[in-house]
Amino acid sequence: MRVRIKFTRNGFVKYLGHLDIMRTFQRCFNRAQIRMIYSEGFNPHQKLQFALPLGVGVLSRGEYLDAEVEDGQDPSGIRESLNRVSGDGFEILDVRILEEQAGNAMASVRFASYEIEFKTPISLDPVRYLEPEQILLQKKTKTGIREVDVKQLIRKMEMNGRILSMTLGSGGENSIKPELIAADLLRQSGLSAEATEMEVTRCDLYAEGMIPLIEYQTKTHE
Amino acid sequence: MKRKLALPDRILMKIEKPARYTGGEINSVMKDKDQISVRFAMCFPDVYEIGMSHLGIQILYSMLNEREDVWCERVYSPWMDLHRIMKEEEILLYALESQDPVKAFDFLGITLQYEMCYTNILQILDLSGIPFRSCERSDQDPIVIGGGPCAYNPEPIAEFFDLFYIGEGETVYFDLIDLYKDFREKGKSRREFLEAASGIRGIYVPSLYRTEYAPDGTISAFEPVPEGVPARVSKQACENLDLVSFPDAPVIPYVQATQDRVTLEIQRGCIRGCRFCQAGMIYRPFRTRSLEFLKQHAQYMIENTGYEEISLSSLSSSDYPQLLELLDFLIETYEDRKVNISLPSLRIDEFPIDVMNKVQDIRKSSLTFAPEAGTQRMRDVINKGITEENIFTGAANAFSCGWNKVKLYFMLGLPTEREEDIKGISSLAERIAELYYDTVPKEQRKGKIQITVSTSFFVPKPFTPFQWEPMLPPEQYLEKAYLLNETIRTELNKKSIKYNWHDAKTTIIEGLLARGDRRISRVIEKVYEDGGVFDAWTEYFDYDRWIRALEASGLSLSFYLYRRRSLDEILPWDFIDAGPSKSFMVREYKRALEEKITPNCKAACCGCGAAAYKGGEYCPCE
Ligand code: SF4
Repeated sequence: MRVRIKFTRNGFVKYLGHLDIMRTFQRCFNRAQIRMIYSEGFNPHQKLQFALPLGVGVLSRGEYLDAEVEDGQDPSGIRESLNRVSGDGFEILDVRILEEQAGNAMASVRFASYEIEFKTPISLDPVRYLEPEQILLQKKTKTGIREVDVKQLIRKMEMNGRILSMTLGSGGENSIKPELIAADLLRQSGLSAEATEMEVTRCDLYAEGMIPLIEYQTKTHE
Repeated sequence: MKRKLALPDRILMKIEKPARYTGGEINSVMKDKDQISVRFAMCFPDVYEIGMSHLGIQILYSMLNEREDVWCERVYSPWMDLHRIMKEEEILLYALESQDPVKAFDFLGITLQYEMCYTNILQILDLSGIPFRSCERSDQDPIVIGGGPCAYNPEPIAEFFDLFYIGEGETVYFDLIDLYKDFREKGKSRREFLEAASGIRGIYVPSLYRTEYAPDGTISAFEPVPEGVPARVSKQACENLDLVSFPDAPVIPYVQATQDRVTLEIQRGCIRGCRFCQAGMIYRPFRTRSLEFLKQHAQYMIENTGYEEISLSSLSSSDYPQLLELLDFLIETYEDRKVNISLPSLRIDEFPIDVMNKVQDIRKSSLTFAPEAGTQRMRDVINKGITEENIFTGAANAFSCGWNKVKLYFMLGLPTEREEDIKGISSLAERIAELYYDTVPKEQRKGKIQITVSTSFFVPKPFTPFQWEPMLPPEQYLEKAYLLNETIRTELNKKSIKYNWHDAKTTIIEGLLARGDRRISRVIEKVYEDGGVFDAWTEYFDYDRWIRALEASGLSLSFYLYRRRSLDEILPWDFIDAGPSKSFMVREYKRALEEKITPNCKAACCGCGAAAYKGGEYCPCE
């Protein structure tokens, strides 16, 4: 049975790499004594699928992981047992049973929302930033640096006090890091990203139609 | 509750693996500073991933934290990227749990597992803002304690420590802490505390001893200065391992440790008595934990950590009397949870093939044997206690079970070594390769045999029968390695044999530090001041830096390494009683030169002297 788990990454655990987080969850399931389904073969491992790994240093209120468990009938029980052992920073917010034919978390992601908190008061103008037809940015890819038009990837962008929130196209080829856009916006206002202290938080991930991943192809709690 | 971090985000984001420095791991212990009276910083002077793999620290950490009045925290060496930033920005080294500076602690305990970490001790002191030398410290500085195998010759680093703890940490740490609390309450000085501490069994306070040297550079006298300080220090060992504190909930690192698994220590000491092996001597007598104890605590550890692997740790696991029962239990209990079992120290001659089949994944793992020497004569000199027949039977067993990768470990430069002993390594590897083709019929072979031969250069260690032996200059070690390499290239199966050898220059410095005296501390300090740190890492080790420091100190390799010490010379570590007696060492040394083997403890006790420590599985009652 597959379950989808939504969790936070808060405080110092933002310094962990993706592999560290994977190992951490494997062990959490073991400590919580949740019976897992293992892959076949000589080196059996738990079947875990994370959605859209986050870079080192980014906080999150909406991380996702799909796991195959032997008995998923009691999702809130799983949530409680995981929370008992998950340690500071990782809080399990929700656990839902996935529908039979549901795609995995990674493949389902279409959008991600972020908040960037500037540590000092700052004046930025996202409305003006979004005015041009095209916003061309240099993006590092596996094959080298490529110029992309990020305008079509920005679904929402607004400034409230010191917090810049944005919703960006995410998953597969159409991903862009929020830091990259923030840096460009700062540059437009004559500021440098290096000299500006900010903290990035991922708020949530969404499937097509802007459905939050926790609700996408999952069964609702009774 | 949000823990504060000692380093700002700005720094954490620009260094490698920042989670090495943020603490907060599962099972790490947080306490309320106001509720405790003694703060203990326990340090492994190497990078986090190495230090977190070490069982000894986990044992002491859990034992000290069991006390309500003590908070023990962990400290590791900052890697070079952070080291530079800390120096530049004058940031003090801190402990992981509270993120408070080490300098504010009552104790700083440093475990000494290998000689090449000695410059890292100075790094820890330097970054902590603690003066290098015991005599320069004030009442505001922590008491700096050294322990672990290298403390059996503490002299090269004696000046850097306020006291050493000789032996197993479980025995007298609490006495030391109680004494400290008592003296602090009474407002006594550091010096007064240290003098009183020297009265605790197993504690050595170097500043209370004086060394005199003869004109030839050897030690002419070594004695305590104040009255009442004991002339000899006896190592401490636990009598019954079932009764000592056990780390049931070890700290689980977020950053992957080198040993990323549960380590279950099944026994201590070794029955074998290999003459080059310091661990085999200083951890005598051989003591086991009961099967019931191990079953129970293995369960606790697996449940508290969620690890997917458990490793049975000991110097020679096949000597555990109930090994099969223990393995059966673990396999049965954890079949569903897919816990792997690893046995790192099996001996070729008692190769329990049924066991190996149960626990090891044949396709991916290679089999490790350590014959240590290439000829029977040489193996007899080192008392390895295995014959060629044992080796071939073991290897044939393994091959018929499906293994085709074998790793063989040897030493070069052993006492009395001749050219034929070196060539013997090559021929042994060749015959093992041939054995594979003879044992396994063609249709059953899963590819070619792959043999990896690794050699290290022999380093004579204190408290071994070879402690008087000379070493060789690095060029001569390399000649031996080249000779072996060439010989292997002439073998029929040369394509199946891979050979690699250790760095000769690192070996020389390891040898210098292993048997050095107090004068060597100057050299270590000079090396550190010259930028030397992380010498255990090839990318940072610089031989010339050591040679320069040695010369500048007016000391020479020929004195410390290239001469044969006489049996009546006062050795720097002679004041320590490590269990086996010096007369036993002399006896074993002579037997080695006569190429005579000595039976292991189980076969026949040879009266090494360690029986005085009680609890030995095979020791005669006194
Ligand atoms: S006293 Fe005998 S049995 Fe005990 S450790 Fe020494 S040699 Fe072995």
